[in-house]
Amino acid sequence: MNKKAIYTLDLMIWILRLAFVLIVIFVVSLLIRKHIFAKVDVSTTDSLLVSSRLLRSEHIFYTNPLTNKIDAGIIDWGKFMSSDLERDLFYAIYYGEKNRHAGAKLTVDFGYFFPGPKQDVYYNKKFYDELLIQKKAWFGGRVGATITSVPVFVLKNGKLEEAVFTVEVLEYE
Amino acid sequence: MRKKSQAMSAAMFVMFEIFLVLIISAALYQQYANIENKGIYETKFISRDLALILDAAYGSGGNMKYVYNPASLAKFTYSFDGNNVVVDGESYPYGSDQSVLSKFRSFSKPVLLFVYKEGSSLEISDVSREINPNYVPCDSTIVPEIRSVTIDPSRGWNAELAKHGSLMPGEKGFVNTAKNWTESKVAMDLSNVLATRYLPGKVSKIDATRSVKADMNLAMAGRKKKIAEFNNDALISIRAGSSINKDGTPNVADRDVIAYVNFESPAFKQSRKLACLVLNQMSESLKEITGTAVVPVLLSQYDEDDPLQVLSTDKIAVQLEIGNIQVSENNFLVEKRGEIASAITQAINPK
Repeated sequence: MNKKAIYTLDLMIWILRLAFVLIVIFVVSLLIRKHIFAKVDVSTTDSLLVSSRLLRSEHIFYTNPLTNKIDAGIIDWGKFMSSDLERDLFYAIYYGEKNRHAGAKLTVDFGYFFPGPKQDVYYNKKFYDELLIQKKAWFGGRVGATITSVPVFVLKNGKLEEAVFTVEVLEYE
Repeated sequence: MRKKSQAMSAAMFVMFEIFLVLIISAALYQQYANIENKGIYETKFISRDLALILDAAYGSGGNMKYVYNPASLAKFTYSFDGNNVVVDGESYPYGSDQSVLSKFRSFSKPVLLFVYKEGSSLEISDVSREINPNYVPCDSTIVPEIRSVTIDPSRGWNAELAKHGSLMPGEKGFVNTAKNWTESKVAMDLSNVLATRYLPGKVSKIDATRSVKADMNLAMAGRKKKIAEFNNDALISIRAGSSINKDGTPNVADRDVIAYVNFESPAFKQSRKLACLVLNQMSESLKEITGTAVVPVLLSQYDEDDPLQVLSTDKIAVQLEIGNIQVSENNFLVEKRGEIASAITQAINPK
């Protein structure tokens, strides 16, 4: 092996060592950063609060006209099917005109106990749909979902019907 | 010679590596020192924490006072811009309720922050104060428009008729025998202050179902007839409350104000809103009040001559049962008529 070839081989080994050292430093730096850097993830608590507010919303639940109190166990079907509901919810939990913080799907399932229909309405539907696509995609790890289901009565045409009310809130983590 | 050169190169390379590691370590140390010194973690934490507290406060149905005092609160400046809690430039969004009146401002290095939720308003302040526990949540979607008012001083008692043996001198209502206060006189005096000193200029027309200067009786049918004739936008009926213990002594702990509204009236919601506004104004200015309530009533369940029957109108109508006439010392019902009348006027016309 001539001198030039040996020198080239040494240089390649050094470059490889240097690259290895840089990779080690980079990985160590990333690991430290992951543990030390100020990331405060409150998305779960945040989603639960949005969910909790939707589960007690005056725009969904029956309001006793005598006492003006909300009965959070009875969904007022007239309110739930109102075309104004999405707008009312948007302003009741208002993150600004361009809400890029949370979206939710609200489902009343009459078929939970016995065969029956389902009805969905949305809070900030555009953003919910956007997050849902990302959640279903392979990189959907950034989107967090909070799903809460409660048994309710639905006041429909003056009669109470049993159903399950589910609120699914999507937010970025 | 070649081996020596190789060893030299290797040594140089190791030194270069050590140098590189030292440089990068120093840079990392500097970065984390910056995070600590600038409080990046703390600003992130507080902005999120405060935003979640606001979310919870907006979602809460009752009145609340929350004292916010994390250890590093006094290190930063706070503002609430565009539905974001901003702590030294670090922001996090909160979901406000647009039907709630938000009273937020900026704070620089506050020692403590207080979150107050009272009825339909939410306030953040650096000043501690007592929360008004009697605050009633009002329906923000209803704004009663009142340009004319009928005042009803409730029961009346004609002493002259009684002296001459009339069978219908009226009713004194509740009586504080120790002070010789009668409900008819107390309600009339309060109505007088309201009609002559506070309401003029705030509404275009004021009428009263009976005289506010001299205590005289008028039967329920007559009062109802006058209310219909006046045809004013709103009726304010005034009564004194009364509460005594089982042993006959005054129950001084009971100085509530109750606002009755007719549930069957077409103006029920507007009446309830006016009642709510009156109670909130009164409980704000009169700390002696021990409790407030809006009570919807079904008039069909009361006698025809019951004082509540004045509420049988299709206009906005509220009957106020104020305080406790049996309290002889420091009774706001007698001593603070101006404050009561002012609160009612503010509720009718806040301008």
